[in-house]
Amino acid sequence: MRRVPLIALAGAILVASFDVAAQSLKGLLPAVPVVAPSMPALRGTPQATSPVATDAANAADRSARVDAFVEARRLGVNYLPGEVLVKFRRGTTTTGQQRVLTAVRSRTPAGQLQWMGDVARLVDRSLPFADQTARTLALQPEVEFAEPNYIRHLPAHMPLRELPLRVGANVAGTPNDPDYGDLQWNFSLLSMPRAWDISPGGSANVIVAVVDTGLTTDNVTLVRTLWTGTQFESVSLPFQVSPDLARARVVLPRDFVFEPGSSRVLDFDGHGTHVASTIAEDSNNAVGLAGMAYQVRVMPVKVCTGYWELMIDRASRGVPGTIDPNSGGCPDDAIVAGIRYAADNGARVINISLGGEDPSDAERSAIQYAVQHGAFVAVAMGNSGDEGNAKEYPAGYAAIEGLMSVGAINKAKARASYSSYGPHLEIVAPGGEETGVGLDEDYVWQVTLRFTDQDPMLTSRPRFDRYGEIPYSGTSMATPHVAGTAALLVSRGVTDPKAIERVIKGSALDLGAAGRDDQFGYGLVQPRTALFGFGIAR
Amino acid sequence: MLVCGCALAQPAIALAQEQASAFVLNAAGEAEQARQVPPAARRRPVQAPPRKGIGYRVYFATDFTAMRAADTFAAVTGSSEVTAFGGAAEVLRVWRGLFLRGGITRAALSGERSVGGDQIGIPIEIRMLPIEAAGGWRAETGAKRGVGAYLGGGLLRLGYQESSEFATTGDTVDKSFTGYLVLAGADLTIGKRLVVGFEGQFRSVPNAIGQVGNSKLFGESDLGGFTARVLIGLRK
Repeated sequence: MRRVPLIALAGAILVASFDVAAQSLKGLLPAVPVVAPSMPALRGTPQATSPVATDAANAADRSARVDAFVEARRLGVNYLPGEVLVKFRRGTTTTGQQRVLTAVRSRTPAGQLQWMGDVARLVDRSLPFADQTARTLALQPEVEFAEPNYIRHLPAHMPLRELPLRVGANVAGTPNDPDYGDLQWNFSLLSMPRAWDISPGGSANVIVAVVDTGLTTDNVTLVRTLWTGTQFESVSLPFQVSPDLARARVVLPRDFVFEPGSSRVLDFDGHGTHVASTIAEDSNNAVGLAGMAYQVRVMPVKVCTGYWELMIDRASRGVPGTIDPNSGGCPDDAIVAGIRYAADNGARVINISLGGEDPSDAERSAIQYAVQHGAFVAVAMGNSGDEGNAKEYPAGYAAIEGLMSVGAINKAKARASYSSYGPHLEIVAPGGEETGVGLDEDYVWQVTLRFTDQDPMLTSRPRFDRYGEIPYSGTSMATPHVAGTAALLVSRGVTDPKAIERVIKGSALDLGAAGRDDQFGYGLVQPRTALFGFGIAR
Repeated sequence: MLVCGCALAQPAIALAQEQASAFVLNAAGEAEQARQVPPAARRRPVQAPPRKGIGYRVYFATDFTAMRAADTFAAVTGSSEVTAFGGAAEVLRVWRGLFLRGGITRAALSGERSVGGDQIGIPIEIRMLPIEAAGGWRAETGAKRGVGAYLGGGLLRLGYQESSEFATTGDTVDKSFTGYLVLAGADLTIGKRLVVGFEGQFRSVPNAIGQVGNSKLFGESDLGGFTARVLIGLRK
């Protein structure tokens, strides 16, 4: 009796079952959007240009992605179903790329790949199990790496309360921002006034990119359809720029998720504004609170989308009902594109207050690109310190010189219990923690969107035009302290990202066990010491 | 004896014979004298007797010091070598070859504050003022006892100052440290009084630095080093 090769039999069964599963899910996902290519297929270099898409195609792609976010939440997966990031080996032609795509039975032609530098985003909703698709792609000889388009999250704790924005100089304080002395213990802990004596807010020639939920750049009112609980309604969604971060200091904004490619950025969340404010909030202007490098310019890079962006899109297509309030996130393709955009457009410091548990070669590659182009990168460690302490990325790539992973301490200079730790932790900074009984004064306070205006648990008609003094805590809040310090150093002429890292490490206040340790890294960032440096004896 | 039949050459021949006889007699006499004098005495130069009574040596000095905290100094000033100017006064022959010295030099350095090897762009000024109290043993030789060699040791009191722009209370350094030195040198007296010389020193000022700053980063704690001194002065 002739033996049937077992490998061939198993492969046939696997392909057949996969096809059945894909077909059964097909009905749950919209069809792959048709993109009209405007140029012939390119040969040679993998760093091809994405095909120019029509507005309708962009809208279709965005809607498909929105559904993918919702589906990811429903499935409990940490990637966007049907989306894979792939890097082809140098020299792979379009023909070779097509062969690879055919090998995984993708319906997306190679000419419709979307590129972020040398990494391509493959969108094929007929292949929703992106982890499986990525594994199959990675086996192809033309592929350097392939991975699902992971969804990252923002390591910050929701605020407990908010204070109105106060205006009026505190004549007894320096700076004179009215609530600086009462609320910004973090800046006192870091001796920021002494740092400002050396570098008063940094230089306007320095650009800091905030890769996050965005920082609103336009005073505009969007009129959109929203599901308000029982019906669709036309709702006015007002947006205002922050009253304590001058618009003139916001440069080269770019949206990669809500209105991809747009230079208008709208913050629907407040997290990005809070982070940007720690770095660069206007200071000594008798308004609200202060920021570390209050002269530098800020580049908002929106890579995170949340509840309201998803709801707006769903309502525009007539999809009723609400979604999980924690839907959304920061897809890796947007993060990769955002980091490269920041590096290509003059950012000398990049703040990344987000992360996830899956390693990403695409992120690592983008960060290496940014460092090679002269940008220092500060990344949050993550908030799982008391929930398993899983290693998160891109903080896990701390070995890259010019990238620093940042953990959080509280007001007592103890490691915040939520702050992730480990051998890849490099530096700590104030991230805040509730150390009193029901108090949040020990959080990090900045001027940002009032969360009561846009918390989906509190309203179905959000607004994004009112700001207050809002407390957040998390490694998200610690990270901009390091980014702010780096911005001040760049302003003083220390421009090499690797040198910035060495200076920050060498000047840190050692905490915990002597020398570097897993709880505090090299210690607490010391902006003044980093700026002043050392002599021989002191 | 020369024999010549020529009558005219007789007087010249007689004179030559007398001179030859005299030469032979002189050489014989000197040879006799040489046999009586010891051989060594023929090669030993004439030496002056040892100087007596207390003497002195005062001089200007230029010190070139290779600092033991080499990495720390290089990170801040760009060099691990320090040049100082000063002088010293010595009392010689306190008891036989014993001498005592008091000396002082001053070094002024400028550099840039740094964190490790990365400079920050803030200027720094450094002043070092070593005061030495030393003693040792000196020997002299040569014609007029003009060549001296010595070795010794002593205490070092080092004044150290740092100042920078943007410095506040606690940033400026103004301290003194105690250390020690060992020395060895040689000099040459030219003429009656002028003396030029060279001296090597090993200095140690332990635990003066290393608690904070760049010295802590580099793990260096000694403000001493190896010094080469060039001196010129007067001697009696």
